[in-house]
Amino acid sequence: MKQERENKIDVVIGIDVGSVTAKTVILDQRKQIVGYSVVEEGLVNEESAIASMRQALEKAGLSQENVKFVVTTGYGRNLLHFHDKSFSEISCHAKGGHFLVPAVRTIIDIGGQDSKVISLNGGGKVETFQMNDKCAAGTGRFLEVMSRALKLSFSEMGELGAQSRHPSHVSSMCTVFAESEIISLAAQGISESDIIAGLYESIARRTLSLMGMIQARSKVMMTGGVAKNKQLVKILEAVIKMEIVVPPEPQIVGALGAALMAHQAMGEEA
Amino acid sequence: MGKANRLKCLADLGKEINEFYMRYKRAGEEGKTTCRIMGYPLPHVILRAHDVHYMFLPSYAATSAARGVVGRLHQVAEEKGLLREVCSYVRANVGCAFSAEAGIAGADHMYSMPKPDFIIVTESSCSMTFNWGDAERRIYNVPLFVVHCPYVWDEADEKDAVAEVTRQLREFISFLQDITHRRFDWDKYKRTMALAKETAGLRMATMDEACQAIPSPATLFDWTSLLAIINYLIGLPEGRDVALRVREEVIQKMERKEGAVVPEKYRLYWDGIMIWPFLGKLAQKCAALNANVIWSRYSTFSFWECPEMIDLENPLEGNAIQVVRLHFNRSIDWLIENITHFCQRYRIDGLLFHANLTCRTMAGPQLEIMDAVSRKLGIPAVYFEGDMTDETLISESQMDTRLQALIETIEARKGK
Repeated sequence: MKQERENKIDVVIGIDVGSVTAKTVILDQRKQIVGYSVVEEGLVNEESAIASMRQALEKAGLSQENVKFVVTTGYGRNLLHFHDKSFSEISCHAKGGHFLVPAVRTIIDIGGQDSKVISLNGGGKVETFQMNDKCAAGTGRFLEVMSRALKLSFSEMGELGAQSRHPSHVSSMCTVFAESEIISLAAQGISESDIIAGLYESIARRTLSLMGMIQARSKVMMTGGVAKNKQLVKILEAVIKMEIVVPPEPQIVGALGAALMAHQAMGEEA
Repeated sequence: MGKANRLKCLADLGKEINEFYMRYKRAGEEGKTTCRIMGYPLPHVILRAHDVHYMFLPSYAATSAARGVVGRLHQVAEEKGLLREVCSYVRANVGCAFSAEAGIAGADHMYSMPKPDFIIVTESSCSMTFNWGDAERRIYNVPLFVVHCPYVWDEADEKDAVAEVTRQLREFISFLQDITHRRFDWDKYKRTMALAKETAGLRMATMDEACQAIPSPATLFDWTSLLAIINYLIGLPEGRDVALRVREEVIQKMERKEGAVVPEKYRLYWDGIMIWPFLGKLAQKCAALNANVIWSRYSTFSFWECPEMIDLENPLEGNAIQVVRLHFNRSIDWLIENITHFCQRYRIDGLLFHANLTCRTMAGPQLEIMDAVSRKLGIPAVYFEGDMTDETLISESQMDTRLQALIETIEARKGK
């Protein structure tokens, strides 16, 4: 059966080589997702991207022989020696988000190294976008540093954050300063749950400021690994005063967009 | 993938700039009068007419950065206690002032410059400029002269501002005579101003014609190199000759329909001071994406941008108006209106806003301008942070992503 599938199916691949994880999505000719993977990277590197692709192919029961077109995106998009085309994360998240929910007009993507907000028109084309500045403020990296300081996993942080009754005020958006700020909040006896909720609020305020720059409209979708944190999404919804749609696997939306770009490019070449 | 095809006649400008600094060093060694200028290139022609050798400190920092030798200067300044948030032009020059003490004077010919006899600040909307002049005065223990340009809200303010700056320039000339014990030669000043007017006029006319042409024969990266004729060579026949050579090459390229980016698919506007350490690299990156950065308010609304207003019978006033009309000195409304106008004139497809992390005077109004111009013209814009000389504040990969995303957005809009 597996052999039969390998022989018949032509697929395209999108790989999102991010700063923390490499994600791969495989699409068949009818734009159906036939496989995907998310691989932890450490530092951005080609090996992780290849491992992600192999894992996705294996899950789908396919081999590289089946792959007709590869599009890369993410910070390491130009690392892969075998890609056919590359696009920025902005275009790929827009493409992937619009494919999943055509009514989406704003995408918030909070990834490992940066956060971005993208405004889409009715056809799913990017109208404008904004990204965070050079520092890691308001990104997955920011949460990673804070989770280390609190000695908690992401899921533990999410659970504790949900129990907060009086979120503390974390004023600094600088990752380094915020880390020392939460240490002093803990020293003042503030509960972990209130500190975590305060951190989430600081990310939400940061996102709100990016959204103001593009005059974001509903419907809003959130993508990226941070979107898996339900408590953060809830706080973000309250701060931006808009409902947020989170796709079932928010981390792969960029890779899905890249795969859709590959599908489109293959069609154009044919 | 596109290729850069920049103006060839500018390739030798580096030699002229080297010679400028060598002359400045020799003048100091020979006991001739030397000075340092902060702010706007306002007093250059006055100083040249009075045979005073000057060093224009923003250009010094930019040139050091473009040559890859600014990092050590920043380090020296930081070792002296300057915060990294301080204007990186200031840090480069403070580093230069202490380069001998830091033991790096011999490492590069840019690292050690003679002590000036006086300092002049031409301050317009940048408070840092005054602090900078004051700091240099304390470092060298020499007199400081400050020319302050009033903020110009609208045209009605301009006349008063010009009169005020002219009055201060007269005082400066008295100061100059006192310090050098020589009379100011007004006839020589007029002749020098005539050359300055011609040079600046050629620069502005050539830029305007080239920016209108499709494909454009030149790029902002050429225009920023050409700033040398204002900052280093204004009032000299050599400066006028460079401007003439540029004009000739631009016209030839226009006749051949030869672009500065081959092929030119996208025409961009740049806002903010240049990223001097990445100038060449950035030019290549844009060209690779088939994008030509056509113009910027930095090159078009600064650096003697209204030479046609110089009346050679009243040269001091013509000199003054060059700083009064500086874009730093204008309201956001004026900037929005004029940037929009020139983006239309030059058929711009997208806007690139570089927010200089250590120049908040420049970065302050950028978001408002970006939003307004982008909406008026219906073209996409991108905003990214960096710095004019501090490489540690620049993220190349983030710059790449934003640039590629801007091009993709332009492309997507075209196809809607």
